[in-house]
Order: sequence, then C-alpha cells, then structure tokens
Amino acid sequence: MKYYEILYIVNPNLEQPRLDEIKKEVAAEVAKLLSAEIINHRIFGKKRLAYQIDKHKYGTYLLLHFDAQDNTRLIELNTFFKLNKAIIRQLTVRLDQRPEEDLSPEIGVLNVDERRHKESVAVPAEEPSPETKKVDIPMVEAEEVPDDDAPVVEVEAEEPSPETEKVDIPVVEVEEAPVEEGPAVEAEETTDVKPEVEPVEEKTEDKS
Amino acid sequence: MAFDSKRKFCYFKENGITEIDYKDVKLLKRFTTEQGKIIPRRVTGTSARMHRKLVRAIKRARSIALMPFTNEASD
Repeated sequence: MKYYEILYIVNPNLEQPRLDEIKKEVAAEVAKLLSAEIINHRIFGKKRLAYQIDKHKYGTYLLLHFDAQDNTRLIELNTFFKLNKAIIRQLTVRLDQRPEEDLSPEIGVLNVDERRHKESVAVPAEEPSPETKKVDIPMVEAEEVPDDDAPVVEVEAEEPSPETEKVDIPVVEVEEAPVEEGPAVEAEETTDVKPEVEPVEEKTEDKS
Repeated sequence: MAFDSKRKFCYFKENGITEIDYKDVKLLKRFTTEQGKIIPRRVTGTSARMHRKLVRAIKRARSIALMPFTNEASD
C-alpha cells in the first residue's frame, strides 16, 4: 500500500488520440512494473511552462495516482518516462495518504482547445455580461500593444447597435483610448485582426 | 508587499494548513519574489516546520516547470 503521484508533461502538439495512446502505455507500464492499482489518471491541464523545456513553451500536464504493491522497480519506471519521447518531464512523489478519486468528467485536450476557441470568439461578441472584464480587456490591449488602440474604437462602433449595456462599456474605453492616439481613422482596418489575438493572450495569462 | 506588516505570523498556522501541495502554484507564488526567489522566513514569518514544507513544494513545482527557477525579465 504505497501511494504515488506522478505528474508528467506531454508534448503539447499531440492530438487527443495520441494522448490516449500514451496514457495507455503509461498505465500498462505502471501496472506491469509495480503491479499497481491506478486510482486517477487524467489531464491536469494544458499550461504554459514556467521555462522552456526542449524548446517547448507549453505542455500538457497529466496527473497519475496509483497504489503500488511493489515499488522496487520504480527506477525502471523513471527510465521508461525518460525514454518516451512524447513525455517531456515527469515528477514522482510519494503520498502519505490514499488520494481521493476524482470522478468529475475528464476534459480532453481537444475540448480544452475548443473551449479556448469558443471563449476567444465569445469575448468580442458577448462582452456585455461582466462589466469589470470588459474594462480590463481594453486596458491590457493598451499596455501590451500600444499601436492597437484602434480595436477599442472598433468595438464601440460594432457593439452599440445590439444592446444598451454594450453602449456603456465602450464609453469607458473611449475615454482611455483617445488620450493616447487618434482612434478614428484606422479603426476599421485593424478591427478584424485584433479581437482574435487578444482573447488568447488573456487566457494564457490567467492560467499561468 | 503582503509581508510589510510588522507583526509576523505564520500564514499556514493561521489558516490551519498542515500540508502544502506543490501543484498549488497560486499559493506558492505568494512566498516567492517576482524573480522567483523564495522569500526568507524571517520576512514572511512562516514557522520553521511549514517553511521546510514550503521550500520542498516550491522546489518540486520548479522541477516540473510549474514555477520558474528564475525570472530575469521582470513582468
């Protein structure tokens, strides 16, 4: 009854099917070497790495909990991880207590991506919901990409029509933007490009 | 920033935390500088026992790239 937790990072470019294969391989290896009972084995998240590993900036984290009957071959398991090219890094930790079984539905990597995509699409369209978020977004844009003040203006132009709430928000943005640059002329050109790029950046920041 | 108050107390004792998970980056980040260095416990007031656990957790998080060893470009 020895409980272990292994957190390992898989190449972020792999698709869900390949990821499932790797999971199977790892599970089989753990079961074979340690005659272990697997408690949890799920995606921990696709995250930005704190530092680059083998030129990778992102990584898919997988979390594995198991109960090993025989831990004498744990070293061999580590070599297995090292030799597997899809696995960038792993960390094995001994647990004092049996980890809780996580029964919540697992989110596939694909779904994670879809989610992001949806959100990124949604942000420009659905902006009315949270007021604070709306305010923050323009700020971030302004700080990171000074030249992009135009998009803010665009937002104003597009949004006012649908709902009253949207109208209020743009006003705030307008106050900030005009001071830095003359928004009026360039607004339409930049509009298309900016909205897509910005949401992605925000998300990565949050997760990190 | 968060540790400016003159009266020191152990954050973990205060909140009844006995174990520190290396995956809890949000918590660990409170005890590192912007450059990623671990803040000494004479500054944070963390108890000796919890500081040892904290250090272990931070170092684990670093090795799995959840936290930086160093952050030269200040954010």
